[in-house]
Amino acid sequence: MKEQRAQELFDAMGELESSMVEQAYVVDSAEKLKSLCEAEAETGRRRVRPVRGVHRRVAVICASVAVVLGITLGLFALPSLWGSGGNLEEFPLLSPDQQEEQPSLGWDDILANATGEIVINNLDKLNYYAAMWLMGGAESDVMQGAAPQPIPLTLTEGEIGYDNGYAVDTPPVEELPPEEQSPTLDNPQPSQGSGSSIGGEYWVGDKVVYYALEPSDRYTIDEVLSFQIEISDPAGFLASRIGTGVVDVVITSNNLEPMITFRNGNLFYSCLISGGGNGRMHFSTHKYIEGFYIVKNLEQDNFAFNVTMDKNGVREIVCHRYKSGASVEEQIYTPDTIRLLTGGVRQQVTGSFSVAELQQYYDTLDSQAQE
Amino acid sequence: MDENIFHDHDIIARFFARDERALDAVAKKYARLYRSIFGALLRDQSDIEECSNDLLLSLWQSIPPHRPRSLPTYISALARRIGIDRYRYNSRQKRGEGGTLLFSELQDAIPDRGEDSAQSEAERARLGAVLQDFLDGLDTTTRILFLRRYFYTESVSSLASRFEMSESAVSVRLHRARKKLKKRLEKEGLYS
Repeated sequence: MKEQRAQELFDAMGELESSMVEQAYVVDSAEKLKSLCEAEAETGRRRVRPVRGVHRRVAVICASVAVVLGITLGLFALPSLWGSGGNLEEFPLLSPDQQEEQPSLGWDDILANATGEIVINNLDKLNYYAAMWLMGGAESDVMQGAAPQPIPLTLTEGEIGYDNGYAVDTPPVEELPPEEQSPTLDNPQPSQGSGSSIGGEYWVGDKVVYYALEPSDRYTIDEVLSFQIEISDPAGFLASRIGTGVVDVVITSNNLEPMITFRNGNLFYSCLISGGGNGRMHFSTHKYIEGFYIVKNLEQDNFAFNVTMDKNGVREIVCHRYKSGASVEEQIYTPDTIRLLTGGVRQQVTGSFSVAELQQYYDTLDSQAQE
Repeated sequence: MDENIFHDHDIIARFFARDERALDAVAKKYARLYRSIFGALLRDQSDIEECSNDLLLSLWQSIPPHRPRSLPTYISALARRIGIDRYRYNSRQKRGEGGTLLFSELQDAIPDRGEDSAQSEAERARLGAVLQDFLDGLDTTTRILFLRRYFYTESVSSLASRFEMSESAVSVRLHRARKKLKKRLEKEGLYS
Protein backbone atom coordinates (compact mmCIF):
# COMPACT_ATOMS: atom_id res chain seq x y z
CA MET A 1 0.00 0.00 0.00
CA LYS A 2 2.81 2.40 0.80
CA GLU A 3 4.25 1.79 -2.62
CA GLN A 4 0.96 2.83 -4.15
CA ARG A 5 0.94 5.98 -2.03
CA ALA A 6 4.49 6.66 -3.13
CA GLN A 7 3.36 6.41 -6.73
CA GLU A 8 0.54 8.85 -5.99
CA LEU A 9 3.05 11.22 -4.45
CA PHE A 10 5.20 10.89 -7.54
CA ASP A 11 2.10 11.61 -9.65
CA ALA A 12 1.22 14.64 -7.57
CA MET A 13 4.60 16.19 -8.31
CA GLY A 14 3.50 16.38 -11.90
CA GLU A 15 0.91 18.98 -10.86
CA LEU A 16 3.33 21.42 -9.26
CA GLU A 17 3.57 25.01 -10.41
CA SER A 18 5.46 24.96 -13.69
CA SER A 19 7.64 27.93 -12.72
CA MET A 20 8.99 26.06 -9.71
CA VAL A 21 9.70 22.98 -11.77
CA GLU A 22 11.26 24.99 -14.58
CA GLN A 23 13.49 26.75 -12.12
CA ALA A 24 14.79 23.41 -10.86
CA TYR A 25 15.69 22.48 -14.42
CA VAL A 26 17.44 25.77 -15.07
CA VAL A 27 19.49 25.67 -11.88
CA ASP A 28 21.79 22.93 -13.06
CA SER A 29 25.16 23.81 -11.62
CA ALA A 30 26.78 24.64 -8.31
CA GLU A 31 27.35 28.18 -9.50
CA LYS A 32 23.71 28.76 -10.35
CA LEU A 33 22.56 27.16 -7.15
CA LYS A 34 24.85 29.42 -5.17
CA SER A 35 23.54 32.49 -7.00
CA LEU A 36 19.96 31.42 -6.38
CA CYS A 37 20.63 30.85 -2.69
CA GLU A 38 22.27 34.27 -2.35
CA ALA A 39 19.46 35.94 -4.21
CA GLU A 40 16.74 34.33 -2.12
CA ALA A 41 18.62 35.04 1.08
CA GLU A 42 19.11 38.67 0.06
CA THR A 43 15.47 39.25 -0.71
CA GLY A 44 14.67 37.49 2.53
CA ARG A 45 11.50 36.14 1.18
CA ARG A 46 10.17 32.93 -0.14
CA ARG A 47 9.54 32.43 -3.78
CA VAL A 48 6.55 34.34 -4.98
CA ARG A 49 4.06 31.89 -6.31
CA PRO A 50 2.58 32.97 -9.60
CA VAL A 51 -1.14 33.60 -9.74
CA ARG A 52 -3.19 31.07 -11.55
CA GLY A 53 -5.58 30.90 -14.41
CA VAL A 54 -7.76 33.83 -15.25
CA HIS A 55 -6.15 36.03 -12.60
CA ARG A 56 -2.78 35.54 -14.30
CA ARG A 57 -4.26 36.60 -17.61
CA VAL A 58 -5.72 39.72 -16.03
CA ALA A 59 -2.44 40.49 -14.30
CA VAL A 60 -0.49 40.09 -17.54
CA ILE A 61 -2.92 42.34 -19.41
CA CYS A 62 -2.80 44.99 -16.69
CA ALA A 63 0.98 44.88 -16.61
CA SER A 64 1.13 45.23 -20.38
CA VAL A 65 -1.21 48.21 -20.32
CA ALA A 66 0.97 49.75 -17.62
CA VAL A 67 4.06 49.27 -19.78
CA VAL A 68 2.39 50.87 -22.79
CA LEU A 69 1.26 53.82 -20.67
CA GLY A 70 4.74 54.05 -19.23
CA ILE A 71 6.23 54.22 -22.69
CA THR A 72 3.78 56.88 -23.79
CA LEU A 73 4.24 59.03 -20.71
CA GLY A 74 7.98 58.48 -20.71
CA LEU A 75 8.35 59.65 -24.26
CA PHE A 76 6.32 62.73 -23.65
CA ALA A 77 8.39 63.57 -20.60
CA LEU A 78 11.76 63.29 -22.31
CA PRO A 79 13.67 66.41 -23.17
CA SER A 80 13.68 66.78 -26.93
CA LEU A 81 17.39 66.29 -27.45
CA TRP A 82 17.08 63.93 -30.32
CA GLY A 83 14.24 64.91 -32.55
CA SER A 84 10.76 63.51 -32.76
CA GLY A 85 11.66 59.97 -31.82
CA GLY A 86 9.52 56.91 -32.11
CA ASN A 87 5.84 57.46 -32.57
CA LEU A 88 3.89 54.99 -30.50
CA GLU A 89 0.68 55.61 -32.35
CA GLU A 90 2.27 54.38 -35.53
CA PHE A 91 3.85 51.38 -33.91
CA PRO A 92 1.52 50.29 -31.14
CA LEU A 93 2.71 47.46 -29.00
CA LEU A 94 0.67 44.32 -29.19
CA SER A 95 -1.52 43.29 -26.29
CA PRO A 96 -0.83 39.85 -24.83
CA ASP A 97 -3.87 38.44 -26.66
CA GLN A 98 -2.64 39.87 -29.94
CA GLN A 99 0.84 38.57 -29.28
CA GLU A 100 -0.53 35.09 -28.76
CA GLU A 101 -2.41 35.29 -32.03
CA GLN A 102 0.67 36.23 -34.00
CA PRO A 103 1.82 33.50 -36.33
CA SER A 104 4.87 31.77 -35.11
CA LEU A 105 7.86 33.15 -37.04
CA GLY A 106 11.38 31.88 -37.01
CA TRP A 107 14.41 34.10 -37.37
CA ASP A 108 14.60 33.37 -41.08
CA ASP A 109 11.09 34.66 -41.62
CA ILE A 110 11.67 37.84 -39.61
CA LEU A 111 14.96 38.73 -41.24
CA ALA A 112 13.82 37.81 -44.73
CA ASN A 113 11.10 40.46 -44.38
CA ALA A 114 13.56 43.24 -43.54
CA THR A 115 13.56 45.91 -46.21
CA GLY A 116 15.77 48.64 -44.81
CA GLU A 117 19.46 49.08 -44.32
CA ILE A 118 19.29 48.23 -40.66
CA VAL A 119 18.72 44.52 -40.13
CA ILE A 120 18.27 43.43 -36.52
CA ASN A 121 20.01 40.11 -36.93
CA ASN A 122 21.66 39.75 -33.55
CA LEU A 123 21.35 40.72 -29.91
CA ASP A 124 23.95 43.48 -30.27
CA LYS A 125 21.78 45.32 -32.74
CA LEU A 126 18.63 44.57 -30.81
CA ASN A 127 20.14 46.15 -27.71
CA TYR A 128 21.58 49.12 -29.54
CA TYR A 129 18.67 49.97 -31.83
CA ALA A 130 16.07 49.37 -29.16
CA ALA A 131 17.96 51.81 -26.94
CA MET A 132 18.09 54.32 -29.78
CA TRP A 133 14.38 53.98 -30.41
CA LEU A 134 13.61 54.55 -26.75
CA MET A 135 15.88 57.51 -26.47
CA GLY A 136 13.78 59.13 -29.08
CA GLY A 137 15.76 59.49 -32.22
CA ALA A 138 16.97 57.81 -35.33
CA GLU A 139 20.53 56.67 -34.93
CA SER A 140 21.99 59.57 -36.83
CA ASP A 141 20.56 62.05 -34.35
CA VAL A 142 21.58 60.33 -31.16
CA MET A 143 25.00 61.69 -30.42
CA GLN A 144 24.32 65.30 -31.21
CA GLY A 145 23.82 67.84 -28.55
CA ALA A 146 25.87 69.29 -25.75
CA ALA A 147 28.37 67.04 -24.11
CA PRO A 148 30.38 67.49 -20.93
CA GLN A 149 34.14 67.90 -21.02
CA PRO A 150 35.94 64.74 -22.01
CA ILE A 151 37.13 62.86 -19.00
CA PRO A 152 40.62 61.42 -19.37
CA LEU A 153 40.89 57.72 -19.02
CA THR A 154 42.77 56.49 -15.99
CA LEU A 155 43.59 52.99 -15.15
CA THR A 156 42.06 52.26 -11.80
CA GLU A 157 44.67 49.77 -10.79
CA GLY A 158 43.94 48.73 -7.25
CA GLU A 159 40.77 50.75 -7.08
CA ILE A 160 38.54 48.21 -8.67
CA GLY A 161 39.99 44.96 -7.62
CA TYR A 162 39.16 41.49 -8.69
CA ASP A 163 39.02 38.46 -6.58
CA ASN A 164 38.42 35.22 -8.32
CA GLY A 165 37.57 37.10 -11.43
CA TYR A 166 35.00 39.40 -9.86
CA ALA A 167 35.03 42.80 -8.25
CA VAL A 168 35.83 42.46 -4.57
CA ASP A 169 33.24 45.00 -3.56
CA THR A 170 30.34 43.04 -4.99
CA PRO A 171 29.69 39.38 -5.43
CA PRO A 172 29.59 37.90 -8.90
CA VAL A 173 26.23 38.48 -10.39
CA GLU A 174 25.27 35.89 -12.92
CA GLU A 175 22.39 33.60 -13.56
CA LEU A 176 19.65 34.49 -11.12
CA PRO A 177 16.20 33.04 -10.64
CA PRO A 178 13.16 34.24 -12.57
CA GLU A 179 11.52 36.20 -9.75
CA GLU A 180 14.06 39.00 -9.52
CA GLN A 181 13.19 42.60 -8.97
CA SER A 182 13.93 44.87 -11.90
CA PRO A 183 17.60 45.89 -11.82
CA THR A 184 18.82 49.42 -12.19
CA LEU A 185 22.11 50.55 -13.61
CA ASP A 186 23.12 51.62 -10.09
CA ASN A 187 22.60 48.17 -8.73
CA PRO A 188 22.99 45.97 -11.71
CA GLN A 189 21.84 42.44 -11.33
CA PRO A 190 20.89 40.03 -14.01
CA SER A 191 17.18 39.79 -14.26
CA GLN A 192 14.95 37.49 -16.05
CA GLY A 193 11.83 38.93 -17.50
CA SER A 194 9.21 37.72 -19.78
CA GLY A 195 11.43 36.17 -22.32
CA SER A 196 11.51 32.57 -23.17
CA SER A 197 12.43 30.17 -20.46
CA ILE A 198 16.10 29.52 -20.16
CA GLY A 199 16.64 25.89 -20.46
CA GLY A 200 19.94 26.02 -18.76
CA GLU A 201 23.31 26.26 -20.33
CA TYR A 202 23.92 23.71 -23.01
CA TRP A 203 26.58 22.83 -25.49
CA VAL A 204 26.16 23.66 -29.13
CA GLY A 205 29.19 22.42 -30.97
CA ASP A 206 32.13 23.64 -28.95
CA LYS A 207 30.29 26.56 -27.36
CA VAL A 208 28.23 26.91 -24.22
CA VAL A 209 24.97 28.71 -24.89
CA TYR A 210 24.07 30.74 -21.83
CA TYR A 211 20.86 32.13 -23.26
CA ALA A 212 19.02 31.92 -26.55
CA LEU A 213 16.58 34.63 -27.52
CA GLU A 214 13.49 33.21 -29.22
CA PRO A 215 11.82 35.06 -32.10
CA SER A 216 8.64 35.53 -30.09
CA ASP A 217 10.46 36.90 -27.06
CA ARG A 218 10.06 40.48 -26.06
CA TYR A 219 13.13 42.45 -25.14
CA THR A 220 12.39 44.96 -22.41
CA ILE A 221 14.58 47.91 -21.50
CA ASP A 222 13.96 50.18 -18.56
CA GLU A 223 17.07 52.34 -18.49
CA VAL A 224 19.61 53.47 -21.03
CA LEU A 225 23.03 55.01 -20.69
CA SER A 226 24.55 56.21 -23.93
CA PHE A 227 27.93 57.82 -24.46
CA GLN A 228 30.91 57.90 -26.79
CA ILE A 229 34.45 56.68 -26.57
CA GLU A 230 37.41 56.83 -28.85
CA ILE A 231 39.52 53.81 -29.68
CA SER A 232 42.97 54.75 -30.85
CA ASP A 233 45.11 51.65 -30.41
CA PRO A 234 44.50 49.18 -33.24
CA ALA A 235 46.15 46.42 -31.21
CA GLY A 236 43.66 46.63 -28.36
CA PHE A 237 40.92 44.07 -27.68
CA LEU A 238 37.99 46.29 -28.61
CA ALA A 239 39.74 47.50 -31.76
CA SER A 240 40.14 43.88 -32.81
CA ARG A 241 36.35 43.59 -32.71
CA ILE A 242 35.14 46.89 -34.11
CA GLY A 243 38.14 48.86 -35.29
CA THR A 244 39.33 52.26 -34.19
CA GLY A 245 37.73 55.68 -34.16
CA VAL A 246 34.80 57.28 -32.39
CA VAL A 247 32.48 54.63 -31.06
CA ASP A 248 28.93 54.89 -29.79
CA VAL A 249 28.17 52.96 -26.64
CA VAL A 250 24.92 52.03 -24.97
CA ILE A 251 24.37 50.30 -21.68
CA THR A 252 20.91 49.01 -20.98
CA SER A 253 19.13 47.68 -17.98
CA ASN A 254 16.89 45.06 -19.53
CA ASN A 255 15.02 41.86 -18.94
CA LEU A 256 18.04 39.64 -19.67
CA GLU A 257 21.15 41.05 -18.02
CA PRO A 258 22.60 44.55 -18.23
CA MET A 259 24.46 44.72 -21.49
CA ILE A 260 27.02 47.08 -22.96
CA THR A 261 27.05 47.45 -26.73
CA PHE A 262 29.77 49.21 -28.69
CA ARG A 263 29.02 50.32 -32.22
CA ASN A 264 31.45 51.54 -34.84
CA GLY A 265 29.60 51.94 -38.13
CA ASN A 266 28.34 48.48 -39.02
CA LEU A 267 30.45 46.72 -36.44
CA PHE A 268 29.05 45.86 -33.05
CA TYR A 269 30.39 44.22 -29.93
CA SER A 270 28.48 43.46 -26.75
CA CYS A 271 29.11 41.76 -23.49
CA LEU A 272 27.22 41.30 -20.29
CA ILE A 273 27.39 42.32 -16.68
CA SER A 274 29.59 40.42 -14.30
CA GLY A 275 29.24 42.54 -11.18
CA GLY A 276 28.96 46.04 -9.81
CA GLY A 277 27.10 48.29 -7.49
CA ASN A 278 27.34 51.75 -5.99
CA GLY A 279 27.64 53.42 -9.35
CA ARG A 280 30.01 50.93 -10.85
CA MET A 281 29.33 48.32 -13.46
CA HIS A 282 31.69 45.57 -14.49
CA PHE A 283 31.14 43.92 -17.82
CA SER A 284 33.03 40.88 -18.88
CA THR A 285 33.69 39.42 -22.30
CA HIS A 286 33.18 35.88 -21.00
CA LYS A 287 29.51 36.37 -21.85
CA TYR A 288 29.25 37.75 -25.33
CA ILE A 289 26.88 37.72 -28.26
CA GLU A 290 26.70 35.46 -31.28
CA GLY A 291 23.59 36.03 -33.29
CA PHE A 292 20.72 35.74 -30.88
CA TYR A 293 22.72 33.64 -28.46
CA ILE A 294 24.53 34.73 -25.37
CA VAL A 295 27.62 32.56 -25.34
CA LYS A 296 29.64 31.89 -22.24
CA ASN A 297 33.33 31.12 -22.35
CA LEU A 298 35.50 31.34 -19.25
CA GLU A 299 38.44 29.65 -20.96
CA GLN A 300 39.20 32.27 -23.59
CA ASP A 301 41.27 35.38 -23.09
CA ASN A 302 38.75 37.63 -21.38
CA PHE A 303 38.56 41.35 -20.82
CA ALA A 304 36.62 43.54 -18.47
CA PHE A 305 35.00 46.92 -19.00
CA ASN A 306 34.60 48.83 -15.78
CA VAL A 307 32.19 51.72 -15.99
CA THR A 308 31.81 54.32 -13.28
CA MET A 309 28.77 56.53 -13.51
CA ASP A 310 26.62 58.96 -11.63
CA LYS A 311 23.07 60.17 -12.07
CA ASN A 312 24.04 62.19 -15.10
CA GLY A 313 26.02 59.71 -17.07
CA VAL A 314 29.37 58.00 -17.33
CA ARG A 315 32.37 59.33 -15.45
CA GLU A 316 34.92 56.74 -16.40
CA ILE A 317 35.43 53.60 -18.41
CA VAL A 318 38.42 51.32 -18.32
CA CYS A 319 39.13 48.13 -20.15
CA HIS A 320 41.65 45.55 -19.14
CA ARG A 321 42.43 41.93 -19.59
CA TYR A 322 41.55 39.92 -16.56
CA LYS A 323 42.36 36.51 -15.35
CA SER A 324 39.44 34.53 -14.02
CA GLY A 325 40.19 33.22 -10.55
CA ALA A 326 43.24 35.40 -10.08
CA SER A 327 43.76 37.75 -7.17
CA VAL A 328 43.94 41.49 -7.45
CA GLU A 329 47.72 41.39 -7.60
CA GLU A 330 47.71 38.81 -10.34
CA GLN A 331 45.33 40.64 -12.61
CA ILE A 332 46.85 41.70 -15.87
CA TYR A 333 46.17 45.36 -16.20
CA THR A 334 46.99 45.61 -19.83
CA PRO A 335 45.49 48.88 -20.85
CA ASP A 336 43.20 48.72 -23.78
CA THR A 337 43.43 52.22 -25.03
CA ILE A 338 39.95 53.58 -25.04
CA ARG A 339 39.08 57.11 -24.09
CA LEU A 340 35.80 58.44 -22.85
CA LEU A 341 34.73 61.28 -25.12
CA THR A 342 31.37 62.23 -23.71
CA GLY A 343 29.76 61.31 -20.41
CA GLY A 344 26.62 60.95 -22.41
CA VAL A 345 23.10 60.70 -21.20
CA ARG A 346 21.30 58.50 -18.76
CA GLN A 347 17.59 58.01 -19.19
CA GLN A 348 14.90 56.07 -17.43
CA VAL A 349 12.95 54.88 -20.40
CA THR A 350 10.83 51.80 -20.66
CA GLY A 351 9.99 49.83 -23.73
CA SER A 352 9.36 46.29 -24.79
CA PHE A 353 9.94 44.99 -28.29
CA SER A 354 10.02 41.89 -30.29
CA VAL A 355 12.70 41.79 -32.97
CA ALA A 356 10.00 41.81 -35.63
CA GLU A 357 8.47 45.01 -34.21
CA LEU A 358 11.79 46.80 -34.01
CA GLN A 359 12.69 45.66 -37.51
CA GLN A 360 9.37 46.96 -38.79
CA TYR A 361 10.02 50.32 -37.16
CA TYR A 362 13.39 50.77 -38.80
CA ASP A 363 12.13 49.48 -42.16
CA THR A 364 9.40 52.12 -42.03
CA LEU A 365 11.89 54.84 -41.08
CA ASP A 366 14.03 53.81 -44.00
CA SER A 367 11.18 53.86 -46.48
CA GLN A 368 10.04 57.26 -45.21
CA ALA A 369 13.55 58.61 -45.64
CA GLN A 370 13.58 57.49 -49.24
CA GLU A 371 10.31 59.22 -50.08
CA MET B 1 26.80 27.28 -33.89
CA ASP B 2 25.53 23.83 -34.85
CA GLU B 3 22.60 24.56 -37.12
CA ASN B 4 21.14 21.17 -36.34
CA ILE B 5 20.38 21.99 -32.73
CA PHE B 6 17.23 24.07 -32.80
CA HIS B 7 16.06 26.69 -30.44
CA ASP B 8 13.12 25.36 -28.48
CA HIS B 9 11.01 27.95 -30.23
CA ASP B 10 12.02 26.62 -33.63
CA ILE B 11 11.18 23.10 -32.52
CA ILE B 12 7.73 24.19 -31.33
CA ALA B 13 7.21 26.16 -34.54
CA ARG B 14 7.93 23.01 -36.50
CA PHE B 15 5.36 21.13 -34.46
CA PHE B 16 2.83 23.78 -35.35
CA ALA B 17 3.87 23.54 -38.98
CA ARG B 18 3.43 19.74 -38.74
CA ASP B 19 7.04 19.33 -39.76
CA GLU B 20 8.28 15.94 -38.60
CA ARG B 21 11.80 17.30 -38.20
CA ALA B 22 10.48 18.60 -34.89
CA LEU B 23 10.56 15.05 -33.61
CA ASP B 24 14.14 14.55 -34.81
CA ALA B 25 15.12 17.75 -33.04
CA VAL B 26 13.46 16.68 -29.80
CA ALA B 27 15.16 13.30 -29.98
CA LYS B 28 18.52 14.91 -30.62
CA LYS B 29 18.24 17.53 -27.92
CA TYR B 30 16.23 15.82 -25.19
CA ALA B 31 16.58 12.06 -25.59
CA ARG B 32 18.96 11.90 -22.67
CA LEU B 33 16.48 13.74 -20.46
CA TYR B 34 13.41 11.61 -21.17
CA ARG B 35 15.26 8.32 -21.39
CA SER B 36 16.73 8.93 -17.96
CA ILE B 37 13.24 9.47 -16.58
CA PHE B 38 12.07 6.22 -18.15
CA GLY B 39 15.19 4.50 -16.90
CA ALA B 40 14.38 5.56 -13.34
CA LEU B 41 10.95 3.92 -13.58
CA LEU B 42 11.43 0.93 -15.87
CA ARG B 43 13.93 -1.86 -16.09
CA ASP B 44 13.32 -3.31 -19.48
CA GLN B 45 15.14 -1.62 -22.32
CA SER B 46 12.37 -2.43 -24.77
CA ASP B 47 9.89 -0.71 -22.44
CA ILE B 48 12.11 2.34 -22.45
CA GLU B 49 12.22 2.31 -26.24
CA GLU B 50 8.46 1.95 -26.50
CA CYS B 51 7.88 4.73 -24.00
CA SER B 52 10.27 6.96 -25.92
CA ASN B 53 8.22 6.42 -29.04
CA ASP B 54 5.01 7.01 -27.08
CA LEU B 55 6.47 10.27 -25.81
CA LEU B 56 7.26 11.51 -29.29
CA LEU B 57 3.77 10.57 -30.41
CA SER B 58 2.27 12.38 -27.42
CA LEU B 59 4.26 15.46 -28.28
CA TRP B 60 3.09 15.30 -31.88
CA GLN B 61 -0.52 14.97 -30.78
CA SER B 62 -0.43 17.65 -28.11
CA ILE B 63 1.56 20.38 -29.87
CA PRO B 64 -0.54 22.05 -31.19
CA PRO B 65 -2.79 23.13 -29.62
CA HIS B 66 -0.60 23.21 -26.57
CA ARG B 67 2.35 25.59 -26.75
CA PRO B 68 4.74 24.73 -23.90
CA ARG B 69 6.42 27.55 -22.13
CA SER B 70 9.34 25.36 -21.26
CA LEU B 71 9.89 22.47 -23.63
CA PRO B 72 12.22 20.43 -21.37
CA THR B 73 9.79 20.70 -18.45
CA TYR B 74 6.87 19.73 -20.69
CA ILE B 75 8.78 16.75 -22.04
CA SER B 76 9.73 15.71 -18.52
CA ALA B 77 6.12 15.91 -17.32
CA LEU B 78 4.97 13.77 -20.26
CA ALA B 79 7.76 11.28 -19.70
CA ARG B 80 6.83 10.94 -16.05
CA ARG B 81 3.21 10.25 -16.92
CA ILE B 82 4.04 7.74 -19.65
CA GLY B 83 6.67 6.09 -17.52
CA ILE B 84 4.51 5.61 -14.48
CA ASP B 85 1.60 4.35 -16.57
CA ARG B 86 3.89 1.72 -18.03
CA TYR B 87 5.25 0.94 -14.58
CA ARG B 88 1.73 0.35 -13.25
CA TYR B 89 0.79 -1.73 -16.27
CA ASN B 90 3.84 -3.91 -15.78
CA SER B 91 3.09 -4.28 -12.07
CA ARG B 92 -0.47 -5.37 -12.81
CA GLN B 93 0.84 -7.85 -15.35
CA LYS B 94 3.30 -8.96 -12.70
CA ARG B 95 6.11 -8.28 -15.07
CA GLY B 96 8.38 -7.79 -12.14
CA GLU B 97 9.07 -4.11 -11.97
CA GLY B 98 9.31 -4.77 -8.27
CA GLY B 99 9.42 -1.17 -7.22
CA THR B 100 11.98 1.41 -8.09
CA LEU B 101 14.49 3.16 -5.91
CA LEU B 102 12.50 6.34 -6.39
CA PHE B 103 9.31 4.86 -4.96
CA SER B 104 11.24 3.22 -2.14
CA GLU B 105 12.62 6.57 -1.18
CA LEU B 106 9.25 8.30 -1.46
CA GLN B 107 7.74 5.74 0.87
CA ASP B 108 9.72 7.45 3.63
CA ALA B 109 7.41 10.39 3.13
CA ILE B 110 4.21 8.37 3.56
CA PRO B 111 2.64 8.34 7.04
CA ASP B 112 2.68 4.92 8.67
CA ARG B 113 -0.97 4.37 9.23
CA GLY B 114 -3.05 5.01 6.20
CA GLU B 115 -6.43 3.99 4.89
CA ASP B 116 -6.31 1.17 2.47
CA SER B 117 -8.41 2.86 -0.16
CA ALA B 118 -7.95 4.50 -3.49
CA GLN B 119 -7.18 8.17 -3.54
CA SER B 120 -10.14 10.39 -4.31
CA GLU B 121 -10.03 13.42 -6.62
CA ALA B 122 -10.37 15.71 -3.64
CA GLU B 123 -7.49 14.02 -1.85
CA ARG B 124 -5.40 14.22 -4.99
CA ALA B 125 -6.01 17.96 -5.24
CA ARG B 126 -5.24 18.43 -1.59
CA LEU B 127 -2.07 16.44 -1.87
CA GLY B 128 -0.95 18.64 -4.75
CA ALA B 129 -1.59 21.82 -2.77
CA VAL B 130 0.15 20.50 0.34
CA LEU B 131 3.11 19.37 -1.70
CA GLN B 132 3.37 22.77 -3.38
CA ASP B 133 3.28 24.56 -0.06
CA PHE B 134 5.76 22.13 1.45
CA LEU B 135 8.26 22.72 -1.35
CA ASP B 136 7.80 26.47 -1.12
CA GLY B 137 8.86 26.25 2.50
CA LEU B 138 12.05 24.28 1.91
CA ASP B 139 15.42 25.95 1.80
CA THR B 140 16.63 26.65 -1.72
CA THR B 141 19.17 23.87 -2.02
CA THR B 142 16.91 21.18 -0.66
CA ARG B 143 14.05 22.29 -2.88
CA ILE B 144 16.17 22.13 -6.00
CA LEU B 145 17.59 18.74 -5.02
CA PHE B 146 14.12 17.40 -4.19
CA LEU B 147 12.66 18.50 -7.50
CA ARG B 148 15.55 17.28 -9.56
CA ARG B 149 15.40 13.92 -7.77
CA TYR B 150 11.67 13.31 -7.68
CA PHE B 151 10.43 15.27 -10.67
CA TYR B 152 13.33 14.91 -13.11
CA THR B 153 14.40 11.56 -11.53
CA GLU B 154 18.03 12.57 -11.48
CA SER B 155 20.21 10.12 -9.57
CA VAL B 156 21.88 11.01 -6.29
CA SER B 157 25.33 10.55 -7.77
CA SER B 158 24.50 12.86 -10.67
CA LEU B 159 23.13 15.48 -8.28
CA ALA B 160 26.24 15.26 -6.14
CA SER B 161 28.48 15.71 -9.14
CA ARG B 162 26.39 18.52 -10.60
CA PHE B 163 26.21 20.57 -7.43
CA GLU B 164 29.69 19.70 -6.18
CA MET B 165 28.37 18.04 -3.04
CA SER B 166 29.15 14.66 -1.59
CA GLU B 167 26.66 11.89 -2.26
CA SER B 168 26.06 11.54 1.44
CA ALA B 169 25.28 15.26 1.74
CA VAL B 170 22.70 14.94 -1.04
CA SER B 171 21.24 11.78 0.48
CA VAL B 172 20.97 13.33 3.92
CA ARG B 173 19.21 16.42 2.59
CA LEU B 174 16.73 14.33 0.62
CA HIS B 175 16.15 12.02 3.56
CA ARG B 176 15.43 14.92 5.89
CA ALA B 177 13.11 16.44 3.32
CA ARG B 178 11.16 13.19 3.00
CA LYS B 179 10.82 13.02 6.79
CA LYS B 180 9.59 16.58 6.92
CA LEU B 181 7.10 15.81 4.18
CA LYS B 182 5.86 12.81 6.11
CA LYS B 183 5.24 14.97 9.18
CA ARG B 184 3.47 17.50 7.02
CA LEU B 185 1.21 14.88 5.44
CA GLU B 186 0.39 13.53 8.87
CA LYS B 187 -0.44 16.99 10.09
CA GLU B 188 -2.71 17.56 7.10
CA GLY B 189 -4.45 14.27 7.70
CA LEU B 190 -3.44 12.87 4.36
CA TYR B 191 -2.80 9.15 4.22
CA SER B 192 -3.46 8.84 7.95
